[in-house]
Amino acid sequence: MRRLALAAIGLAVFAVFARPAVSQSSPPAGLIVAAPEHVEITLFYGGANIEVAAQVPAGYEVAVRLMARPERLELKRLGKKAGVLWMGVGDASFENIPVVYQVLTSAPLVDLGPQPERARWKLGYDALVPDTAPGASLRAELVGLKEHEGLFAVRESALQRGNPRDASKIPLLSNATAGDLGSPPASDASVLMRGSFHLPARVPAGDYALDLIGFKDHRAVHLASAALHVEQVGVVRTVRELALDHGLFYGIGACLVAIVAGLVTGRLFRSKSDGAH
Amino acid sequence: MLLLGSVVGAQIGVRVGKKLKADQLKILMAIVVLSVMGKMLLGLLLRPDFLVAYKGGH
Repeated sequence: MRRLALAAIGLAVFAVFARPAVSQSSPPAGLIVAAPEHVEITLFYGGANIEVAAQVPAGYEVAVRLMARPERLELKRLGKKAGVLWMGVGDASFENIPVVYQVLTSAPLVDLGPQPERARWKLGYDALVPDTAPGASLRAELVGLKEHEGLFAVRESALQRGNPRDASKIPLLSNATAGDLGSPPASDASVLMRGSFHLPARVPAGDYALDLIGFKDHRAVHLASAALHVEQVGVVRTVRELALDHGLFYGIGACLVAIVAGLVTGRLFRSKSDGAH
Repeated sequence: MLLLGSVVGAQIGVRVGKKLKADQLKILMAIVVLSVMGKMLLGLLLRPDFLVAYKGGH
């Protein structure tokens, strides 16, 4: 009974002293906004530039990570057959590979913080495909393929520092600070960072996550996050929905387009040849 | 796009074909076939940029 009472007092003392300690070490606040937040894939979509602005507590180096839908990726491995022919020689599987993965940093990646901290926030290709992960030996090949498509990019020191007073001049940032994204840090204790991502033409539709990760004293903290929505609209969306969900109508539509195109072209060329003779 | 391009392209091909002799058309056809063959052969003999590729014909 006495032991139980002592334990209860001990727990109460721990709770009283632990609470202020937690509140004192509350994580620093940051803010990140993207413009545009909504990307529309139309018939003439050829890629988009996403401007990013962030307010960061002073003294922090930061990384901004754009990532979407980590999933299992199955590729074919290429190698030589019969000593001369480059062909598929097997499969290569990768786990938790995002469809899009782009990172901007304010300093070289290795200078941000220790590797375990960077790995925790999946910053850098070695964090994306760790040495122990399946397919790690083909990491460079995977990264090369994805970078060639414009879906992967790690651009070190690509975030430019600006004057915190300029934050009010950035409409989206000033709107966001007044909106429901939470209170930004005081401008005199914060730094403005700016950069841009490029989404290629073949970017898939979906929701993308933008994360602002700060590094200070070899520790990484999540400062803020934002969302980016990529959506097919108009003819592109209609054709895709028809092709996937209404195959019969899609087939009939394709035939109609062919017939109309044939009739129009036939008439055009006939009238030209009639005029020539 | 492919459909529209092929429909219009076929008409242009017919007009050009009418202006060429049979032998010239044969040479043109041979050049097209040999060019495609050459590209496929190079694709097999030259080391690809990346040693992984998407499945399904990419």
